[in-house]
Amino acid sequence: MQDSPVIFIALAGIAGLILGLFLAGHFRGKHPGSGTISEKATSLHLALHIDDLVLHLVRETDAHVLLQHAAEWLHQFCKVTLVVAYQYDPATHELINPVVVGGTLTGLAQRLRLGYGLYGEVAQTRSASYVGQVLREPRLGATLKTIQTAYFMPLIHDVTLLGVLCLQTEEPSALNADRQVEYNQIAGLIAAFMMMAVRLKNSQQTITKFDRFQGIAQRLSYRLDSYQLLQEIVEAAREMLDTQMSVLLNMQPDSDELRPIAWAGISAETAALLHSRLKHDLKGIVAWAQQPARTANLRTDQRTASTSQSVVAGMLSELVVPVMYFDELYGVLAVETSEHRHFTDEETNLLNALASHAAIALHNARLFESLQQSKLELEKTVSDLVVARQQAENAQVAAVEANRLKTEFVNNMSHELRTPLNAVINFTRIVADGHAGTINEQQVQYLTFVHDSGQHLLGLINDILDLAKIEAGKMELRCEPSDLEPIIRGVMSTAVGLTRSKGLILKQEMAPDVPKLTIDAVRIRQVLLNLLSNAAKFTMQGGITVRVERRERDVVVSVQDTGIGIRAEDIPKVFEEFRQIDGSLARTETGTGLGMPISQRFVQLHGGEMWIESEVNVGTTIYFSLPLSEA
Amino acid sequence: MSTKTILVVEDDVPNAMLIVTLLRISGFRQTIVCASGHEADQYLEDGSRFDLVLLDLQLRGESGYQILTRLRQNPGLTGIPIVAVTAQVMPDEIAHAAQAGFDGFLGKPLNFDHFPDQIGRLLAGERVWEPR
Repeated sequence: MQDSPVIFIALAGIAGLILGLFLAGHFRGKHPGSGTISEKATSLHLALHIDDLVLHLVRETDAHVLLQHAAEWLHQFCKVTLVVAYQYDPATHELINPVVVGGTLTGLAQRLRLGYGLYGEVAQTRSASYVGQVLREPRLGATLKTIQTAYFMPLIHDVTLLGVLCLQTEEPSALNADRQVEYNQIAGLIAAFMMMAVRLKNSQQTITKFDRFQGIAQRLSYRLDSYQLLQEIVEAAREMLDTQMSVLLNMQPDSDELRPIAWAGISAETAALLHSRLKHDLKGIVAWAQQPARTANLRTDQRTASTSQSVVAGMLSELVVPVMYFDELYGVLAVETSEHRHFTDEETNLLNALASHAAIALHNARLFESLQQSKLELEKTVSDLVVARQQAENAQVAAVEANRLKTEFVNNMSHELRTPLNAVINFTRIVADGHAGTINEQQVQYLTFVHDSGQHLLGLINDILDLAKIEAGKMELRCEPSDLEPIIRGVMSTAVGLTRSKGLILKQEMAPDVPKLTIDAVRIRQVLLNLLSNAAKFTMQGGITVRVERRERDVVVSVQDTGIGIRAEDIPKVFEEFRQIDGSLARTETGTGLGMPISQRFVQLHGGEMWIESEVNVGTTIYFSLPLSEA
Repeated sequence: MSTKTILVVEDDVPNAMLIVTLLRISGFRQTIVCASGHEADQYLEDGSRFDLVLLDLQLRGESGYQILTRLRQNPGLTGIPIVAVTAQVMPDEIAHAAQAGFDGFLGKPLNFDHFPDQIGRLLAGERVWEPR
């Protein structure tokens, strides 16, 4: 891309040269053999010097300078007194920058609207005009007093009007019809070169703009600081479109407001004035219609006259394009100037191109912000997690420490209680059994109370130790293949002591096909004894049935009583530690509150489950399952 | 009535008295109670001979394990069962006792009904491990 401007200019130059040489040849070939001697001489003269004109014009890119060269050449070689030439400005539809060679014209209009005066008329009608008697033509405009005749020619290439050329002489014959044909051709040549110059200039500008554009595009691709880029874009817009100021308004989310986000050529205070709303002024209209719009006069334009803040800011002409990323409107980009100015399609396209980059920048900014937001949220989550993990670790450390202290406490407590209990339990027994001398019945009874209380206390200590061991994961089962039947029989015989006094009936129902189970017989006995003593405790009449059933994968042992029952809502509490169901009867019964939780855990350690079915005043059945051995 | 002599090392007075009483009820009247290992050493130095030693593990001062080590080296006690009698009945302690070389382990509270049988078996050379 870097090479293309040079190539383009070179090509344009060569094309111009070829055209010039062609035209020069045309003059040389066509005219020498026709017309009067004087005319022939003039034609030859022109033909000999046309190369000079071509060489002068071919490299010129400034239309005004080109016209100046052409006028000087005409003045020198065409023997005319005065040459006047105007350039045509398509943006304003005016003739501008007049060139005068051969005299000084005071009062010559510097700008002429199309149709005004002879120059304007020629430009508008695009046809040449001959004035034989200058004095009788009031529309001629400023000229020299000695001028007799004038010949006006539009400078046209293809269909493009480029200016107006006027040759004026003191002699009437110098501008006759034959010469007019020649002059027309020269005018065509000049127009061609002017066109070339305009195109060349445009292309050079385009290239410059393109380079500038490339720079923006390149920066865009790696720039995360979108706002800096937006600033560069508005500055580029102002510079490239040569306006006083430029401003980028950002569409506010969830509203119809447009607020300035970047600007150039104005103060922040002025920029603040330029906020807008959908449809409000030209900017608002562009945002609403999502189409470019322009005005040469904000004061007279109906769309903006009463609403535009730009007028307040001293602006007169405005070009606004929407800033769109695909279908999404991000805002509008506007360039404004305090002069009366008609913005062209090309300028609109240029601003559009800048706007598309602004759109990408704004889109990127939004993405970046949402990315930042996501990142912040992620960081927050991560830090929360870190804190949570730290807390969890601390909690775990504290829990481990608490557990260690608890185990230590339980061990110490066990030891410290066992030593005095050893004396309490055994001495009461010694005395009650009469080893320390004869005692009466009442003394025996009281000592038995002391002894049993001591035993109860010991049971409590043992339960707590078991629970502590289970919780610490130190409860190890000593499992070996065992028959359930002798275990149950042994427990039943112990339970008889508990049920006999109440007159309860103890029953045992064994399924015939129960195989040996891999169990810790000591612990299963403990579980069964616990269930039976509970059943005996809470049953006043009726009986207790121990049942063993075989299922597909396990054996279910149940202890059914006809006792007071447990309310449904209380059933889960049964397995809670140190919990006895609140009830008048339950309260009167002694118990550690640990038997059921320990029993449940022993069963679970075996890979089984324990559950309860109960109905108040009907009875309770407590089940536990023991898995069948794999073999 | 047995003629066996039993050494009881126990520094808690009620517990010492209890063991002596339980032994007497079980038919063992020849018992010597020491409150420390050094006291036991003294008896051994003086020429006393024992058929069974019941040693508390948690004595004030020297621990039961230290006493065990020394008693094992005493030629006067060669082949004599030495039994741990303790309220410390956690698995770790039981394992420790087994490792240290005790011939038996009786947990406190002692079982009034089983005690005579336990002593009988120990005197017969049986290992008795009944923590509860």
